Amino acid sequence: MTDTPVIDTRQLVVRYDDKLAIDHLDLCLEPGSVHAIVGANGAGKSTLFRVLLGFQKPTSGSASILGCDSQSLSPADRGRIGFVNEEHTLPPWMSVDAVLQMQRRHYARWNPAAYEEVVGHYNIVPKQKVGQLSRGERAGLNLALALAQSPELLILDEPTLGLDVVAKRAFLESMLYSREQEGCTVVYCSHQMDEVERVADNLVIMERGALRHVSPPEEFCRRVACWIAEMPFRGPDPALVPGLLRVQRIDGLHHYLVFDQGEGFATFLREHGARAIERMPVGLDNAVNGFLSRHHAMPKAA
Amino acid sequence: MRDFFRAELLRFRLPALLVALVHLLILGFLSRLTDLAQESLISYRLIGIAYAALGALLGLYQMGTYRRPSTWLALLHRPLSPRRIAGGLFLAGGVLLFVAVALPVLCLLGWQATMTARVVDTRHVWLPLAAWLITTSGYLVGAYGMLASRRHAAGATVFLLLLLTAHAVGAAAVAVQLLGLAWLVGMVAVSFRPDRLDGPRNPVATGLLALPLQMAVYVTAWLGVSMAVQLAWVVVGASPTNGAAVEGGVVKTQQATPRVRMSAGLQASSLPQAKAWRDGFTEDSVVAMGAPFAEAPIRGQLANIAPTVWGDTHTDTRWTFSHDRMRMVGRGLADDHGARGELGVGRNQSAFPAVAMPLAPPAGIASKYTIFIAGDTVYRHVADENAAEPWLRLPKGETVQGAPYVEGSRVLVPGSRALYIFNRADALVQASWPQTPVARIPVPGAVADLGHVDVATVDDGLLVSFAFTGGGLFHPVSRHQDVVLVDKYGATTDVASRTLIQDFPTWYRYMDWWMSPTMDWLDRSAKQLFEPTPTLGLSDAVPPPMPMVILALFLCALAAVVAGWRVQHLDIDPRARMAWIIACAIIGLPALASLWLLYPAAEREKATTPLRVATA
Repeated sequence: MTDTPVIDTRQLVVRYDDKLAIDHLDLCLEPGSVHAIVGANGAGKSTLFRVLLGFQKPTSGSASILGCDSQSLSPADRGRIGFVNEEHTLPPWMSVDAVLQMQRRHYARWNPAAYEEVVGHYNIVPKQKVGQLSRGERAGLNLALALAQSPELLILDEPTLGLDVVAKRAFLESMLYSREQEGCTVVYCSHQMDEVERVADNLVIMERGALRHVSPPEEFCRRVACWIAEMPFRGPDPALVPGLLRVQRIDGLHHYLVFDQGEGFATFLREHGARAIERMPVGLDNAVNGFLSRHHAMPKAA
Repeated sequence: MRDFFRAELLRFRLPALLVALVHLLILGFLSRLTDLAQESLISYRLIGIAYAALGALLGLYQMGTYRRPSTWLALLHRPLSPRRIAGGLFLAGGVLLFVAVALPVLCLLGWQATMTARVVDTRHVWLPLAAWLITTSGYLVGAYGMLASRRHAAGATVFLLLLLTAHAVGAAAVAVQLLGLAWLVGMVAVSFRPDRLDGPRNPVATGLLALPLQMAVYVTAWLGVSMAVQLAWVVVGASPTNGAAVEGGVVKTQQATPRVRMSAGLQASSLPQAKAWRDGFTEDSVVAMGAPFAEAPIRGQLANIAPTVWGDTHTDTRWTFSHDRMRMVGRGLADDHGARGELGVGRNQSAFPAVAMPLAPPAGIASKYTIFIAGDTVYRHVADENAAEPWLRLPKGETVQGAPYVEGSRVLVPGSRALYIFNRADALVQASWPQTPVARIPVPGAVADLGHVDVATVDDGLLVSFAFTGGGLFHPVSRHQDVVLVDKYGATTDVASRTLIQDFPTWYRYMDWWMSPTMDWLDRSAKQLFEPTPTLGLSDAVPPPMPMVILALFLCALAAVVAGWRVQHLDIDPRARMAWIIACAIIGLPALASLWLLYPAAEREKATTPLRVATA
């Protein structure tokens, strides 16, 4: 495995008419890890994947994947990149076995053991038509097919969307097992923070097409803290609160979710009349939620 | 490629078999009512439209299911070139359409050839192939409609229009269909790529997509403006075809009765007896012969431009002309539908020299006998001998272009270059057949532009009026009326000649030209590809007048200037920019429109507009 970034974008811009889908994105993802890309709807994740896979021309800037210009990927380059999307698009009129045979003929580095390992988690009969599979089974089959390609890079775009708990767990276990076996780089896009927390080595947060944060998930969680303060009055003007992500008043207590604030934040609260102060750790779900809700679109009346 | 081919066959095999079965049932039902192998051009065109629509439906549906972003990505993101994937999908589509369309036609022909006495010629072998080519063309038009950006997805439909309007016949028509299909394959191939909405980026792809698009724009603009203007004229009561025609114009001449038309023509005469002729006319004394047939049947032609079947009720036989045998082939009309032998020329039953067209006998002579026109000769069916006897023969190099017409003591036969007069009394004597004409009246203009031929017998001989009002009211051809007198010795004298006033303004008549002279030429060239030599010769086209030339040049220059501005805002390389400016200068506004439609505005242009951040 080389040190070439699996994904490298430079000042990447994609515009749809007068909308900015990707905003001067500089993103560099190193090989050998599970990178989770999170962001609200419309953050530009799917657009980024389309650009990276050469299905959309960027407005400006450049994008490369596995060291290749994304706009001129050869069939061989595509063979090195697995892709699973949320819809698990497979031909519904074909049998599972026919799809399998077709895929194994297309991919030179086909790994039947990986396929069997993943598909074993599901009750899939080879003669069954793909259209007859449940969504979870289709997701499992899709992942099995993608992993058996022995890709150097596996891109998963919200693969567990709509799956039940059991199917989701089976999917993640399959992915993690195969990753350990094959050592491929995974770029995982999801809104499910429990999944991200479980699988990701690296967290990438996108917002409105721009890169907002890159770090391991635990490091990100460490930088987000929830301060609970008992304030006699309204508390400080939110515009003056340093690093404020979100403020809520629950049972008479002010909950300040803040980013990159140390013990000095307690001093700030005391200066604004706080009588009792407590710092609470924050889970990834809450941290990302707070991070993204700062600028999240909402109705004008809100 | 093979995998996708098999997968797509598997996907559509049942619908294809079902369509094939329904198709076969429809053909079987229709063949009980009529002989489908002998249908007219309009019938074949209607069937062709149905086939193209069927193909388009498959193309729209098949590619419609793949064009969704996630499906498209799943289809193309694999270690196979897009061309190979497309090859598999479209080859399967072609095979499925062969099963659904060509196979039933082949079955029907096989049934007709082996189990009936109906005529099946070598030319009919082209029918299944033509059916498949038309359906597959429709299929690719539908597929392109789904693959390409909505801005120019309809561009490929011009190929279906070409199939409908091409002049080539027989194997040449199949060649035109093949060329159209090849172009469509190219259009689909260059559009079948991951970023299918991006404009073409190399000269070949640009040419493949831009030219049909330019033609589509040109045809749409021309038809649109033409119809809108006509509609506006009708609304304000200024339409020449709807009550506002000028006296002495083309429309009035077309609408006039034969007597009025002849009288109007004679008004231009300086002969002293012209007034007496005019005054002596009654509605019945001037008769219309009509215009000559625009075309003559050609051996090997797929469709019949004129009926080739006639019924002989005396012998209970339906005769059908066979292009292979060049004779009529008979079968029972009402009883057993069995074979009834052949009918050829003379007692030897020789082959006709050209495709024979059966016609009703002319009133006033031999009215019991069916006649045939074939090449330079009119034949008469002699029932007793069951043979076609040469009856009236034109000079070498001429072809008979209409039914004989009896006028007094004369029999008139329209030829491809002149009107011929035969002696009626001699024509009744079988021993002197074939008759040769006693007089030849050269057509004083382009026969292809003839709209009306009227004749009237006067004391001095026979007056013949030639009104050149044919070939479409708006066509910019020479419009005039000429009257000649044929005396009893067969000598002709020019009696009158007048120029007909054009009812439609010059800009309207030359609209198809000044909108884009290049597209006008390309349109004509494409339609005339492999066209046989026109039987009636060429139209007497009038070159565009100087104001139209100036207008066309101005529009081309305008297109080039606007293109020069536009390309600055597009993300294409400098050589492509220069090529587009040159193309706009040569082709004009259609090229400019295609530039606009093929390439969305680049971001440099949009950068000046305020941004709105995406939230969905």
